[in-house]
Amino acid sequence: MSSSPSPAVLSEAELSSASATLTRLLETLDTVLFGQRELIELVVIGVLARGHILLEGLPGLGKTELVKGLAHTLGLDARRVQFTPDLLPGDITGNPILQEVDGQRQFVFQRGPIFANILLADEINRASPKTQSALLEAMQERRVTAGGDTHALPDPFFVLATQNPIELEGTYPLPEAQLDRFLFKVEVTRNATEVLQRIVLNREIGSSPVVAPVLTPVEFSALLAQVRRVHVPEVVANYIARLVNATHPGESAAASGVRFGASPRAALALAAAAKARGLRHGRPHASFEDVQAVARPVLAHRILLDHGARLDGATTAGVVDKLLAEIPVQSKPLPSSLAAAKIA
Amino acid sequence: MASATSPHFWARTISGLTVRINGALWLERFSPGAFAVAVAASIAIYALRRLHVATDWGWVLLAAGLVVAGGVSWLRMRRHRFSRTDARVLLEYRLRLDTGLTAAEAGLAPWPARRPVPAGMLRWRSPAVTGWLGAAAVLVLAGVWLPVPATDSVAVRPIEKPPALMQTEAWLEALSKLDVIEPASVEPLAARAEELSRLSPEKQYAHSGLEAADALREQTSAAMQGLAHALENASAALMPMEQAGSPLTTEQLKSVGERLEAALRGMREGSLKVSPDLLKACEACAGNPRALTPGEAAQLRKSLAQAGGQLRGVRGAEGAGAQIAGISGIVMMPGAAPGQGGVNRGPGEAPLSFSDTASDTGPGKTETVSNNDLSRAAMGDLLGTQTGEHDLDPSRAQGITSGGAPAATAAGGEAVWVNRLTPAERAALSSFFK
Repeated sequence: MSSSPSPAVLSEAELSSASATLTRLLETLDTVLFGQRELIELVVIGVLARGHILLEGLPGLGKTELVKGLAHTLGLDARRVQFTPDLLPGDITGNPILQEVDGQRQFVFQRGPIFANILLADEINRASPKTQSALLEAMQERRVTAGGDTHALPDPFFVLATQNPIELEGTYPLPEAQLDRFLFKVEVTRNATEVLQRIVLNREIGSSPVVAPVLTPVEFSALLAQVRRVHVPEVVANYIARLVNATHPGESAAASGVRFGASPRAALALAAAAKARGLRHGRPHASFEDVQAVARPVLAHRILLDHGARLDGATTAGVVDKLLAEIPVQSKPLPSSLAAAKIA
Repeated sequence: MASATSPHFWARTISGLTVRINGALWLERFSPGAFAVAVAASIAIYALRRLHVATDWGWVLLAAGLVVAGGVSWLRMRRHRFSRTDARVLLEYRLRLDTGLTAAEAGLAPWPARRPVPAGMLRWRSPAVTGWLGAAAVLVLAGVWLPVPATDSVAVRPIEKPPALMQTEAWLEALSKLDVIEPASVEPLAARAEELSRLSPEKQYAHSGLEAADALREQTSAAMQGLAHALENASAALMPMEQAGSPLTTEQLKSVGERLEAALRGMREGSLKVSPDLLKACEACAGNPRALTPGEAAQLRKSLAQAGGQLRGVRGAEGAGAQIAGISGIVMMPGAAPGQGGVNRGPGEAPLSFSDTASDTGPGKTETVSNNDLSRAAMGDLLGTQTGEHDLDPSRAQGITSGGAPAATAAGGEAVWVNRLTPAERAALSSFFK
């Protein structure tokens, strides 16, 4: 062990400060969305990793409230777009409008709602593929090109999209290539009875919860910079690589029903999310536990099952769970004559 | 706060874990090899026991095989060998240290506090390894303890001496017990027989060894025969003195003396000598026959005749078979009585029997010879071979036939589509369209 860590390594003070701030952020968001601590933590980790998040769940589970609450607590500019089949790309990105400027008529770019720090794309699968493509291109490039001019999006820029999994009529499911742009796909599940009781006691229809900002945009940008300084040890990077490689058919037993595995972007996403989780827990490095905690929301929507597996009732989340059980953290498997148990 | 000795503690723990895991890896690969070695060694040990040979080489084979298997196992496990990094990662993951050991080694974080590694973190769970090794041990013990069949003892009987030598030794032993023979005259023959019996069985049964034994037997036989003849001649010479009712005339006494003198020459010149007492008595009689009374002559003649008879008794009847029959350890088949001459080397006739069916003894006819007595068969003996044609039924052949033809041809795209469906898809589709 070297006596003086390199300057890039986060100091103990930075780590404890970041951890405390993030704890406060999570506690605040807990007052917005009751009983969904795991979901809230994943969303915060996704935002810290500069990723876009797709929330999938039935209507009324609080997806939109969560996103709005997140925007308030982070002190960021947030816009919301309700996606419909007749929504045009320009309705999101903006349109050049003919205006008279200094006595001359010229096209002036009118910025769309995408020019915000957080864009809430409600029911993204209701928009036409053309509109989805325009949004997803902006998500990837973080800029918009219209009329030959390129307009950079604000920094930071996140898309938090929601989609309803039960209504298929009049929807356009996102293609796999576009799903790949989302760092996380998180399933929002229904609440337990105790949580419902708490909601009834603390909420009213028509009134949104009021939350105070926890961070300023500058503090949030500093947190994002700290995430980048979280170290990914070589053994953890190796684990991520083996995990992503094992999603491909023929590379592992768990991938037996997989048609297409995860892309290299998935490996980058895993590393980024693991780093964010490491900072959340006050560590200067990402751990195997971090990778495993974010593996399901990162990998599940990037794996495509074949028809046989789908007919057998297999799910991509189940495949990821099997992968985590199959791929050891160390580079070589244990001898079959030895069994290892996790010690609490 | 981590104690000052944490790095050393974790380094020791990681090293121990590495050794333990690599040991298990090695044992996994070694155990099947050890079993294979044990199979070979146990067979070798058992075979050596059946041959009544020392089993040292079986144990050497076992030890060498285990060493080789161990080395090969070590080479085979190289690709799978756990490094210290692998062991460290496994340890920190199983102890829920959040990659703390790796971070500490990289200088990112302090070393985690010392904590004991529970014994249950790694458990031995392979019945296969213990099964291989247990089976190997059982096999070796079986090779050592399994009883050897009794029939095998016949196959390893000690090799007998050549019959001629055995016969000569029997003669010489009998001669040494006779009082009428001077012991010193037997010694040269006995020394020669001793020299021949000390030779190895291979040399005894070599042509030169057999010839030497035959020559010694002939020499001993001739010596006994010559001495017996001389004794009988001497006895016959004294016969007139015993039978005469009146004193013999001078001519008769002279004739007795001359005949005795001739017999004495035979006694002196032969390689076997009579005892000095008997020789002196004969010499005294030959020098002055008149001095002997008829009673003394009768007593001397009786002694000489008895000595001659004893020699003839020792020598026995003519023919080697007569001598062989009395030698212990030689197995004769029922009805194989000793003959005059015939087989005089080896243990006797082979226990073979001819088939009843063969009658044509022409040169082009093969005749069956069988040996149904397996009591002397040893491991590896060829019990029989047969040369002949295969017993085939040519009437069953049906000529050239077709290798097969498609039962039905494909029906274009439909066939492709149907065949591409998995059984689950097919079941789902059929239930959908019902």
